[in-house]
Amino acid sequence: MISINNLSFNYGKRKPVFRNLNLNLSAGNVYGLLGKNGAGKSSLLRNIAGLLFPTEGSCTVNGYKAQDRLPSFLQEMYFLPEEFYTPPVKIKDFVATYSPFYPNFSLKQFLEYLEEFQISDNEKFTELSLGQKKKALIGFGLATNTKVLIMDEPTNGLDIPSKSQFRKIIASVATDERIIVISTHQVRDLDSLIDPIIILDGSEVLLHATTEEISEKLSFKTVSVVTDHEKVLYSEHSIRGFSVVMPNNGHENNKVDLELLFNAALANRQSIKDIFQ
Amino acid sequence: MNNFFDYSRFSLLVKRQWTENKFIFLMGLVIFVCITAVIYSINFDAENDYMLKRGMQTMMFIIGLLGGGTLFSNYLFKDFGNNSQTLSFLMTPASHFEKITAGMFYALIAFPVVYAITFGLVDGAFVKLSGNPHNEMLYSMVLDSYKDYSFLICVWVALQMFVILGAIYFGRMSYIKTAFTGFLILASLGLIQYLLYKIIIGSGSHNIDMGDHNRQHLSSEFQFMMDGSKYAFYYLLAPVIAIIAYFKLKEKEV
Repeated sequence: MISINNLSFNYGKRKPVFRNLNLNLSAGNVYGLLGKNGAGKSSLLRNIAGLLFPTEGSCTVNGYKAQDRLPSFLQEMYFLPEEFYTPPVKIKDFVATYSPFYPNFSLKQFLEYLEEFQISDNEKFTELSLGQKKKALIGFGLATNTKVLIMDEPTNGLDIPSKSQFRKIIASVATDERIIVISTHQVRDLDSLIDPIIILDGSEVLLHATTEEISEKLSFKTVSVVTDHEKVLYSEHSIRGFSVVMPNNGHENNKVDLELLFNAALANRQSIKDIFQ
Repeated sequence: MNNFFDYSRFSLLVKRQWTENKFIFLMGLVIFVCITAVIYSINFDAENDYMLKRGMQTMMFIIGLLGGGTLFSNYLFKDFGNNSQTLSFLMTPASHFEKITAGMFYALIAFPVVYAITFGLVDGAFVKLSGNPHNEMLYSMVLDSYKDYSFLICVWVALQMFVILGAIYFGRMSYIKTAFTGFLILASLGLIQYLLYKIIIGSGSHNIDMGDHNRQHLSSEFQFMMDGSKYAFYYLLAPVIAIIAYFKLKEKEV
Protein backbone atom coordinates (compact mmCIF):
# COMPACT_ATOMS: atom_id res chain seq x y z
CA MET A 1 0.00 0.00 0.00
CA ILE A 2 1.33 3.42 -0.96
CA SER A 3 -0.16 6.27 1.06
CA ILE A 4 0.43 9.84 0.07
CA ASN A 5 -1.04 12.28 2.56
CA ASN A 6 -1.19 16.03 2.01
CA LEU A 7 2.03 15.87 0.09
CA SER A 8 3.48 19.16 -1.07
CA PHE A 9 6.66 19.28 -3.04
CA ASN A 10 8.66 21.91 -4.86
CA TYR A 11 12.14 22.29 -6.28
CA GLY A 12 13.75 25.13 -4.34
CA LYS A 13 11.72 28.31 -4.44
CA ARG A 14 10.13 27.53 -7.75
CA LYS A 15 6.41 27.02 -8.32
CA PRO A 16 5.13 24.04 -6.33
CA VAL A 17 5.00 20.74 -8.19
CA PHE A 18 2.35 19.34 -5.82
CA ARG A 19 0.13 20.98 -3.26
CA ASN A 20 -1.63 18.85 -0.62
CA LEU A 21 -1.71 15.78 -2.80
CA ASN A 22 -3.60 12.76 -1.46
CA LEU A 23 -3.38 9.37 -3.10
CA ASN A 24 -3.70 5.76 -2.01
CA LEU A 25 -2.39 2.99 -4.21
CA SER A 26 -3.18 -0.59 -3.31
CA ALA A 27 -1.61 -3.92 -4.22
CA GLY A 28 -2.87 -5.97 -7.13
CA ASN A 29 -3.04 -3.07 -9.60
CA VAL A 30 -1.02 -1.72 -12.48
CA TYR A 31 -1.40 2.03 -12.09
CA GLY A 32 -0.96 4.23 -15.13
CA LEU A 33 0.33 7.68 -14.28
CA LEU A 34 -0.42 10.20 -16.98
CA GLY A 35 0.32 13.89 -17.25
CA LYS A 36 1.74 16.58 -19.49
CA ASN A 37 5.47 17.33 -19.53
CA GLY A 38 6.33 18.96 -16.24
CA ALA A 39 3.12 17.81 -14.53
CA GLY A 40 5.20 16.07 -11.90
CA LYS A 41 4.97 12.40 -12.87
CA SER A 42 8.67 11.70 -12.33
CA SER A 43 8.72 13.83 -9.17
CA LEU A 44 5.81 11.84 -7.75
CA LEU A 45 7.52 8.54 -8.57
CA ARG A 46 10.74 9.76 -6.95
CA ASN A 47 8.85 10.82 -3.84
CA ILE A 48 7.39 7.32 -3.66
CA ALA A 49 10.86 5.79 -4.11
CA GLY A 50 12.33 8.04 -1.40
CA LEU A 51 14.63 9.82 -3.82
CA LEU A 52 12.93 13.19 -3.32
CA PHE A 53 11.60 14.37 0.01
CA PRO A 54 8.21 16.04 0.45
CA THR A 55 8.35 19.65 1.64
CA GLU A 56 5.15 18.92 3.58
CA GLY A 57 3.03 15.85 4.18
CA SER A 58 4.14 12.25 4.00
CA CYS A 59 4.65 9.34 1.68
CA THR A 60 4.65 5.85 3.13
CA VAL A 61 5.13 2.60 1.26
CA ASN A 62 4.03 -0.62 2.97
CA GLY A 63 4.41 1.17 6.32
CA TYR A 64 7.88 2.57 5.60
CA LYS A 65 8.55 6.28 5.38
CA ALA A 66 9.96 6.40 1.84
CA GLN A 67 12.57 9.09 2.48
CA ASP A 68 14.32 6.97 5.14
CA ARG A 69 15.41 4.57 2.35
CA LEU A 70 15.83 1.70 4.80
CA PRO A 71 17.26 -1.53 3.35
CA SER A 72 14.05 -3.43 4.20
CA PHE A 73 12.12 -0.82 2.17
CA LEU A 74 14.58 -0.76 -0.74
CA GLN A 75 14.70 -4.53 -1.14
CA GLU A 76 10.96 -4.52 -1.77
CA MET A 77 11.07 -1.61 -4.22
CA TYR A 78 12.45 -1.56 -7.76
CA PHE A 79 12.55 1.74 -9.60
CA LEU A 80 13.40 1.95 -13.28
CA PRO A 81 13.95 5.62 -14.13
CA GLU A 82 13.60 7.14 -17.59
CA GLU A 83 17.34 7.80 -17.70
CA PHE A 84 19.05 4.86 -16.14
CA TYR A 85 22.58 3.74 -15.37
CA THR A 86 24.13 0.45 -16.35
CA PRO A 87 27.65 -0.35 -15.12
CA PRO A 88 30.27 -1.35 -17.72
CA VAL A 89 30.00 -5.07 -16.96
CA LYS A 90 28.45 -8.17 -18.49
CA ILE A 91 24.76 -8.73 -17.75
CA LYS A 92 25.57 -11.93 -15.83
CA ASP A 93 28.08 -10.04 -13.66
CA PHE A 94 25.50 -7.33 -13.05
CA VAL A 95 23.01 -9.96 -11.94
CA ALA A 96 25.59 -11.70 -9.74
CA THR A 97 26.41 -8.35 -8.09
CA TYR A 98 22.95 -6.85 -7.63
CA SER A 99 20.57 -9.80 -7.30
CA PRO A 100 21.71 -10.84 -3.77
CA PHE A 101 20.36 -7.50 -2.53
CA TYR A 102 16.84 -8.66 -3.45
CA PRO A 103 15.74 -11.67 -1.38
CA ASN A 104 12.99 -12.74 -3.83
CA PHE A 105 15.07 -12.47 -6.98
CA SER A 106 14.52 -15.35 -9.42
CA LEU A 107 17.35 -16.09 -11.84
CA LYS A 108 15.11 -18.48 -13.78
CA GLN A 109 12.56 -15.72 -14.34
CA PHE A 110 15.29 -13.27 -15.35
CA LEU A 111 16.73 -15.65 -17.94
CA GLU A 112 13.26 -16.24 -19.35
CA TYR A 113 12.73 -12.49 -19.77
CA LEU A 114 16.12 -12.13 -21.43
CA GLU A 115 15.21 -14.93 -23.80
CA GLU A 116 11.90 -13.24 -24.56
CA PHE A 117 13.76 -10.01 -25.34
CA GLN A 118 16.44 -11.95 -27.27
CA ILE A 119 19.37 -10.74 -25.20
CA SER A 120 22.25 -12.90 -24.00
CA ASP A 121 23.42 -12.57 -20.40
CA ASN A 122 26.97 -12.88 -21.68
CA GLU A 123 26.77 -9.48 -23.36
CA LYS A 124 28.32 -6.37 -21.87
CA PHE A 125 26.03 -3.42 -21.20
CA THR A 126 28.40 -1.16 -23.13
CA GLU A 127 27.83 -3.28 -26.25
CA LEU A 128 24.04 -3.02 -26.11
CA SER A 129 21.74 -0.40 -27.62
CA LEU A 130 19.71 1.85 -25.32
CA GLY A 131 16.58 -0.22 -25.93
CA GLN A 132 18.40 -3.49 -25.19
CA LYS A 133 19.87 -2.07 -21.98
CA LYS A 134 16.38 -1.00 -20.97
CA LYS A 135 14.97 -4.43 -21.71
CA ALA A 136 17.69 -6.08 -19.62
CA LEU A 137 16.88 -3.75 -16.70
CA ILE A 138 13.14 -4.31 -17.11
CA GLY A 139 13.81 -8.05 -16.95
CA PHE A 140 15.97 -7.59 -13.87
CA GLY A 141 13.37 -5.37 -12.18
CA LEU A 142 10.59 -7.86 -12.79
CA ALA A 143 12.74 -10.78 -11.60
CA THR A 144 13.44 -9.01 -8.29
CA ASN A 145 9.80 -9.80 -7.38
CA THR A 146 9.63 -6.71 -5.22
CA LYS A 147 6.28 -5.68 -3.78
CA VAL A 148 6.54 -2.29 -5.45
CA LEU A 149 7.65 -1.83 -9.03
CA ILE A 150 7.92 1.68 -10.42
CA MET A 151 8.73 2.43 -14.03
CA ASP A 152 9.15 5.88 -15.51
CA GLU A 153 8.43 5.88 -19.25
CA PRO A 154 9.41 2.21 -19.66
CA THR A 155 8.37 1.97 -23.31
CA ASN A 156 10.49 4.92 -24.46
CA GLY A 157 13.25 3.57 -26.67
CA LEU A 158 11.63 0.15 -27.15
CA ASP A 159 10.87 -1.10 -30.65
CA ILE A 160 7.33 -2.20 -31.61
CA PRO A 161 7.77 -5.96 -30.89
CA SER A 162 9.43 -5.14 -27.55
CA LYS A 163 6.47 -2.98 -26.54
CA SER A 164 4.08 -5.88 -26.96
CA GLN A 165 6.53 -8.21 -25.18
CA PHE A 166 6.66 -5.67 -22.37
CA ARG A 167 2.86 -5.59 -22.08
CA LYS A 168 2.72 -9.37 -22.05
CA ILE A 169 5.39 -9.68 -19.35
CA ILE A 170 3.91 -6.97 -17.13
CA ALA A 171 0.50 -8.60 -17.37
CA SER A 172 2.06 -11.89 -16.26
CA VAL A 173 3.80 -10.44 -13.20
CA ALA A 174 0.89 -8.34 -11.92
CA THR A 175 0.02 -10.29 -8.79
CA ASP A 176 -2.29 -9.50 -5.88
CA GLU A 177 0.69 -8.66 -3.64
CA ARG A 178 2.35 -6.28 -6.04
CA ILE A 179 1.84 -2.60 -6.82
CA ILE A 180 3.05 -1.59 -10.26
CA VAL A 181 3.15 2.10 -11.15
CA ILE A 182 3.98 3.06 -14.72
CA SER A 183 4.23 6.63 -15.91
CA THR A 184 3.96 7.28 -19.60
CA HIS A 185 3.34 9.80 -22.32
CA GLN A 186 2.64 7.09 -24.81
CA VAL A 187 -0.74 5.89 -23.59
CA ARG A 188 -1.35 3.74 -26.65
CA ASP A 189 1.67 1.61 -25.72
CA LEU A 190 0.06 0.64 -22.44
CA ASP A 191 -3.58 0.67 -23.43
CA SER A 192 -5.34 -2.38 -21.93
CA LEU A 193 -2.53 -2.87 -19.41
CA ILE A 194 -2.81 0.06 -17.03
CA ASP A 195 -5.76 0.20 -14.69
CA PRO A 196 -6.53 2.35 -12.65
CA ILE A 197 -5.59 5.59 -14.36
CA ILE A 198 -4.15 8.60 -12.53
CA ILE A 199 -3.92 11.92 -14.34
CA LEU A 200 -1.77 14.62 -12.79
CA ASP A 201 -2.20 18.25 -13.71
CA GLY A 202 -1.75 21.64 -12.08
CA SER A 203 -0.12 20.35 -8.86
CA GLU A 204 -2.98 17.94 -8.17
CA VAL A 205 -4.59 14.65 -9.09
CA LEU A 206 -7.12 15.48 -11.77
CA LEU A 207 -8.44 11.96 -12.14
CA HIS A 208 -7.97 8.70 -10.25
CA ALA A 209 -10.32 6.01 -11.44
CA THR A 210 -10.46 2.46 -12.76
CA THR A 211 -11.22 1.93 -16.43
CA GLU A 212 -14.53 0.37 -15.37
CA GLU A 213 -15.54 3.56 -13.56
CA ILE A 214 -14.38 5.66 -16.49
CA SER A 215 -16.35 3.60 -18.97
CA GLU A 216 -19.42 3.84 -16.73
CA LYS A 217 -19.19 7.60 -16.50
CA LEU A 218 -17.80 8.61 -19.88
CA SER A 219 -18.66 7.70 -23.40
CA PHE A 220 -16.05 7.52 -26.16
CA LYS A 221 -17.57 7.70 -29.63
CA THR A 222 -16.79 8.49 -33.23
CA VAL A 223 -19.45 10.63 -34.89
CA SER A 224 -19.71 12.18 -38.31
CA VAL A 225 -21.02 15.52 -37.00
CA VAL A 226 -20.77 16.96 -33.52
CA THR A 227 -24.27 17.97 -32.46
CA ASP A 228 -24.69 18.17 -28.66
CA HIS A 229 -21.96 20.77 -28.22
CA GLU A 230 -22.89 21.54 -24.64
CA LYS A 231 -22.59 17.87 -23.66
CA VAL A 232 -19.33 17.17 -25.45
CA LEU A 233 -16.38 17.28 -23.09
CA TYR A 234 -13.85 16.95 -25.85
CA SER A 235 -13.78 16.41 -29.58
CA GLU A 236 -11.10 16.01 -32.20
CA HIS A 237 -10.95 15.32 -35.91
CA SER A 238 -10.45 11.71 -36.87
CA ILE A 239 -10.46 9.83 -40.21
CA ARG A 240 -14.11 8.87 -39.80
CA GLY A 241 -15.35 12.24 -38.54
CA PHE A 242 -14.95 13.28 -34.94
CA SER A 243 -13.82 11.38 -31.87
CA VAL A 244 -15.78 12.69 -28.93
CA VAL A 245 -15.89 12.23 -25.16
CA MET A 246 -19.23 12.76 -23.48
CA PRO A 247 -20.82 11.90 -20.15
CA ASN A 248 -22.18 8.37 -20.37
CA ASN A 249 -25.73 9.16 -19.41
CA GLY A 250 -27.20 6.13 -21.15
CA HIS A 251 -24.78 3.77 -19.33
CA GLU A 252 -23.66 2.27 -22.62
CA ASN A 253 -20.81 -0.20 -22.68
CA ASN A 254 -17.81 1.33 -24.37
CA LYS A 255 -14.05 0.97 -24.50
CA VAL A 256 -11.97 3.65 -22.82
CA ASP A 257 -9.70 5.53 -25.20
CA LEU A 258 -6.87 6.69 -22.95
CA GLU A 259 -5.61 9.35 -25.31
CA LEU A 260 -9.05 10.91 -25.66
CA LEU A 261 -9.60 10.64 -21.93
CA PHE A 262 -6.32 12.42 -21.27
CA ASN A 263 -7.08 15.21 -23.72
CA ALA A 264 -10.62 15.55 -22.36
CA ALA A 265 -9.33 15.77 -18.78
CA LEU A 266 -6.91 18.55 -19.71
CA ALA A 267 -9.41 20.42 -21.87
CA ASN A 268 -12.27 20.24 -19.41
CA ARG A 269 -10.72 19.95 -15.97
CA GLN A 270 -13.66 21.00 -13.85
CA SER A 271 -16.26 18.89 -15.65
CA ILE A 272 -14.08 15.79 -15.36
CA LYS A 273 -13.50 16.50 -11.65
CA ASP A 274 -17.23 16.94 -11.09
CA ILE A 275 -18.09 13.72 -12.90
CA PHE A 276 -15.62 11.66 -10.89
CA GLN A 277 -16.22 13.27 -7.51
CA MET B 1 16.11 -7.17 10.10
CA ASN B 2 19.01 -4.87 10.90
CA ASN B 3 18.49 -1.70 8.92
CA PHE B 4 21.69 -0.03 10.08
CA PHE B 5 24.52 -2.48 9.48
CA ASP B 6 24.53 -5.96 8.10
CA TYR B 7 27.83 -7.61 7.20
CA SER B 8 26.46 -9.50 4.19
CA ARG B 9 25.08 -6.30 2.63
CA PHE B 10 28.35 -4.52 3.41
CA SER B 11 30.37 -7.26 1.71
CA LEU B 12 28.03 -7.14 -1.30
CA LEU B 13 28.72 -3.41 -1.61
CA VAL B 14 32.47 -4.03 -1.39
CA LYS B 15 32.13 -6.71 -4.07
CA ARG B 16 30.04 -4.38 -6.24
CA GLN B 17 32.70 -1.67 -6.09
CA TRP B 18 35.34 -4.19 -7.18
CA THR B 19 33.23 -5.76 -9.97
CA GLU B 20 32.38 -2.40 -11.51
CA ASN B 21 35.78 -0.74 -11.14
CA LYS B 22 38.45 -3.43 -11.12
CA PHE B 23 39.86 -2.47 -14.53
CA ILE B 24 40.15 1.19 -13.56
CA PHE B 25 41.75 0.24 -10.21
CA LEU B 26 44.28 -2.05 -11.87
CA MET B 27 45.00 0.50 -14.61
CA GLY B 28 45.57 3.16 -11.95
CA LEU B 29 47.97 0.83 -10.15
CA VAL B 30 49.97 0.17 -13.33
CA ILE B 31 50.12 3.92 -14.10
CA PHE B 32 51.29 4.60 -10.55
CA VAL B 33 54.05 1.97 -10.82
CA CYS B 34 55.18 3.43 -14.17
CA ILE B 35 55.25 7.04 -12.91
CA THR B 36 57.11 6.04 -9.74
CA ALA B 37 59.62 4.01 -11.76
CA VAL B 38 60.24 6.91 -14.15
CA ILE B 39 60.77 9.39 -11.30
CA TYR B 40 63.05 6.96 -9.49
CA SER B 41 65.08 6.51 -12.69
CA ILE B 42 65.49 10.29 -12.97
CA ASN B 43 66.29 10.45 -9.24
CA PHE B 44 69.41 8.26 -9.66
CA ASP B 45 72.57 10.34 -9.37
CA ALA B 46 74.64 8.52 -12.01
CA GLU B 47 77.76 10.58 -11.27
CA ASN B 48 77.59 9.72 -7.58
CA ASP B 49 77.50 5.89 -7.64
CA TYR B 50 73.73 5.81 -8.32
CA MET B 51 72.89 7.46 -5.03
CA LEU B 52 69.15 8.00 -4.44
CA LYS B 53 68.09 11.38 -3.06
CA ARG B 54 66.28 10.60 0.20
CA GLY B 55 64.19 13.74 0.10
CA MET B 56 62.91 12.68 -3.29
CA GLN B 57 61.97 9.21 -1.99
CA THR B 58 59.96 10.73 0.87
CA MET B 59 58.42 13.37 -1.39
CA MET B 60 57.29 10.75 -3.90
CA PHE B 61 55.72 8.69 -1.14
CA ILE B 62 53.83 11.61 0.38
CA ILE B 63 52.68 13.09 -2.94
CA GLY B 64 51.46 9.67 -4.07
CA LEU B 65 49.67 9.07 -0.79
CA LEU B 66 47.97 12.46 -0.77
CA GLY B 67 47.36 12.93 -4.50
CA GLY B 68 46.59 9.32 -5.32
CA GLY B 69 44.58 8.83 -2.14
CA THR B 70 42.35 11.85 -2.66
CA LEU B 71 41.80 11.08 -6.36
CA PHE B 72 40.94 7.50 -5.46
CA SER B 73 38.51 8.50 -2.71
CA ASN B 74 36.82 10.95 -5.03
CA TYR B 75 36.54 8.26 -7.71
CA LEU B 76 34.90 5.85 -5.25
CA PHE B 77 31.99 8.25 -4.90
CA LYS B 78 31.95 9.30 -8.55
CA ASP B 79 28.31 8.18 -8.77
CA PHE B 80 27.28 11.51 -7.32
CA GLY B 81 28.57 13.32 -10.41
CA ASN B 82 25.73 11.90 -12.46
CA ASN B 83 22.00 11.80 -11.67
CA SER B 84 21.27 8.32 -13.00
CA GLN B 85 24.28 6.88 -11.17
CA THR B 86 23.28 8.68 -7.98
CA LEU B 87 19.82 7.17 -8.31
CA SER B 88 21.24 3.69 -8.82
CA PHE B 89 23.52 4.15 -5.79
CA LEU B 90 20.72 5.41 -3.53
CA MET B 91 18.26 2.72 -4.62
CA THR B 92 20.66 -0.15 -3.92
CA PRO B 93 19.11 -2.00 -0.98
CA ALA B 94 21.67 -1.22 1.71
CA SER B 95 21.77 1.35 4.50
CA HIS B 96 23.48 4.71 4.14
CA PHE B 97 25.94 3.60 6.80
CA GLU B 98 26.85 0.47 4.84
CA LYS B 99 27.26 2.50 1.66
CA ILE B 100 29.61 5.00 3.24
CA THR B 101 31.61 2.39 5.14
CA ALA B 102 32.05 0.29 1.97
CA GLY B 103 33.60 3.39 0.36
CA MET B 104 35.70 4.01 3.47
CA PHE B 105 36.94 0.42 3.35
CA TYR B 106 38.51 1.11 -0.04
CA ALA B 107 39.66 4.65 0.76
CA LEU B 108 41.10 4.06 4.23
CA ILE B 109 42.12 0.40 4.26
CA ALA B 110 42.50 -1.09 0.76
CA PHE B 111 44.17 1.95 -0.80
CA PRO B 112 46.92 2.55 1.81
CA VAL B 113 47.70 -1.19 2.02
CA VAL B 114 48.00 -1.60 -1.76
CA TYR B 115 49.82 1.74 -2.05
CA ALA B 116 52.33 0.89 0.69
CA ILE B 117 53.05 -2.55 -0.78
CA THR B 118 53.39 -1.23 -4.35
CA PHE B 119 55.53 1.73 -3.35
CA GLY B 120 57.68 -0.52 -1.16
CA LEU B 121 58.24 -2.94 -4.04
CA VAL B 122 59.23 -0.18 -6.50
CA ASP B 123 61.39 1.54 -3.87
CA GLY B 124 63.04 -1.74 -2.88
CA ALA B 125 63.63 -2.71 -6.51
CA PHE B 126 65.39 0.59 -7.25
CA VAL B 127 67.46 0.48 -4.04
CA LYS B 128 68.59 -3.01 -5.03
CA LEU B 129 69.14 -1.99 -8.66
CA SER B 130 71.37 0.91 -7.64
CA GLY B 131 73.87 -1.45 -6.02
CA ASN B 132 74.86 1.41 -3.71
CA PRO B 133 75.01 0.19 -0.06
CA HIS B 134 74.31 3.76 1.17
CA ASN B 135 70.89 3.76 -0.45
CA GLU B 136 68.23 2.82 2.05
CA MET B 137 64.65 1.68 1.56
CA LEU B 138 62.16 4.41 2.47
CA TYR B 139 60.28 2.15 4.89
CA SER B 140 63.33 1.48 7.05
CA MET B 141 63.72 5.27 7.36
CA VAL B 142 60.00 5.77 8.03
CA LEU B 143 59.86 3.00 10.65
CA ASP B 144 62.79 4.57 12.51
CA SER B 145 60.98 7.85 12.95
CA TYR B 146 57.38 6.59 12.90
CA LYS B 147 56.40 8.15 16.24
CA ASP B 148 57.36 11.64 15.07
CA TYR B 149 55.10 11.40 12.06
CA SER B 150 52.21 9.26 13.34
CA PHE B 151 49.98 12.37 13.44
CA LEU B 152 50.26 12.50 9.65
CA ILE B 153 48.11 9.37 9.49
CA CYS B 154 45.31 11.21 11.33
CA VAL B 155 45.66 14.18 8.99
CA TRP B 156 45.62 11.88 5.97
CA VAL B 157 42.48 10.07 7.19
CA ALA B 158 40.77 13.43 7.79
CA LEU B 159 41.74 14.55 4.30
CA GLN B 160 40.33 11.36 2.76
CA MET B 161 37.07 11.85 4.66
CA PHE B 162 36.93 15.47 3.54
CA VAL B 163 37.21 14.36 -0.10
CA ILE B 164 34.44 11.77 0.41
CA LEU B 165 32.23 14.44 1.98
CA GLY B 166 33.00 16.75 -0.95
CA ALA B 167 32.10 14.03 -3.49
CA ILE B 168 28.74 13.45 -1.79
CA TYR B 169 28.01 17.15 -1.27
CA PHE B 170 29.10 18.67 -4.58
CA GLY B 171 28.21 15.99 -7.13
CA ARG B 172 29.61 17.25 -10.42
CA MET B 173 33.29 18.31 -10.58
CA SER B 174 33.51 17.50 -6.91
CA TYR B 175 37.31 17.10 -6.79
CA ILE B 176 37.99 20.65 -7.91
CA LYS B 177 35.18 22.09 -5.79
CA THR B 178 36.39 20.15 -2.72
CA ALA B 179 39.98 21.32 -3.23
CA PHE B 180 38.82 24.92 -3.54
CA THR B 181 36.60 24.60 -0.45
CA GLY B 182 39.50 23.03 1.47
CA PHE B 183 41.71 25.95 0.49
CA LEU B 184 39.05 28.45 1.62
CA ILE B 185 38.59 26.64 4.94
CA LEU B 186 42.35 26.56 5.62
CA ALA B 187 42.70 30.24 4.70
CA SER B 188 39.76 31.13 6.97
CA LEU B 189 41.18 29.07 9.86
CA GLY B 190 44.55 30.80 9.42
CA LEU B 191 42.86 34.17 9.53
CA ILE B 192 40.78 33.25 12.59
CA GLN B 193 43.89 31.94 14.37
CA TYR B 194 45.75 35.15 13.57
CA LEU B 195 42.86 37.25 14.88
CA LEU B 196 42.54 35.12 18.03
CA TYR B 197 46.24 35.48 18.81
CA LYS B 198 45.92 39.18 18.21
CA ILE B 199 43.02 39.40 20.67
CA ILE B 200 44.67 37.17 23.31
CA ILE B 201 48.27 38.26 23.03
CA GLY B 202 48.05 41.73 21.58
CA SER B 203 49.47 43.55 18.62
CA GLY B 204 52.85 41.84 18.76
CA SER B 205 51.36 38.40 18.20
CA HIS B 206 53.05 37.89 14.81
CA ASN B 207 56.39 37.92 16.61
CA ILE B 208 55.46 35.25 19.18
CA ASP B 209 57.45 32.04 18.72
CA MET B 210 55.12 29.05 19.21
CA GLY B 211 57.85 26.46 18.74
CA ASP B 212 58.43 23.66 21.29
CA HIS B 213 61.65 25.28 22.56
CA ASN B 214 59.65 28.33 23.63
CA ARG B 215 56.74 26.53 25.27
CA GLN B 216 57.90 27.13 28.85
CA HIS B 217 57.30 30.84 28.26
CA LEU B 218 53.65 30.32 27.37
CA SER B 219 50.97 30.29 30.04
CA SER B 220 49.55 26.87 30.99
CA GLU B 221 46.06 27.93 29.76
CA PHE B 222 47.49 28.87 26.41
CA GLN B 223 49.42 25.59 26.22
CA PHE B 224 46.24 23.69 27.07
CA MET B 225 44.38 25.53 24.30
CA MET B 226 47.11 24.75 21.81
CA ASP B 227 47.38 21.09 22.78
CA GLY B 228 43.61 20.72 22.91
CA SER B 229 43.10 22.16 19.45
CA LYS B 230 45.99 20.07 18.11
CA TYR B 231 44.56 16.79 19.44
CA ALA B 232 41.05 17.74 18.38
CA PHE B 233 42.38 18.40 14.89
CA TYR B 234 44.32 15.14 14.76
CA TYR B 235 41.85 12.74 16.35
CA LEU B 236 38.36 14.27 16.17
CA LEU B 237 38.36 15.87 12.76
CA ALA B 238 38.11 12.66 10.71
CA PRO B 239 35.22 11.13 12.75
CA VAL B 240 33.37 14.46 12.70
CA ILE B 241 33.72 14.74 8.90
CA ALA B 242 32.64 11.09 8.56
CA ILE B 243 29.47 11.79 10.58
CA ILE B 244 28.70 14.86 8.45
CA ALA B 245 29.26 12.79 5.27
CA TYR B 246 26.86 10.13 6.59
CA PHE B 247 24.10 12.67 7.22
CA LYS B 248 24.72 14.35 3.86
CA LEU B 249 24.27 10.97 2.20
CA LYS B 250 21.08 10.35 4.17
CA GLU B 251 19.57 13.61 2.98
CA LYS B 252 20.76 13.27 -0.62
CA GLU B 253 17.97 13.75 -3.16
CA VAL B 254 17.97 13.12 -6.86
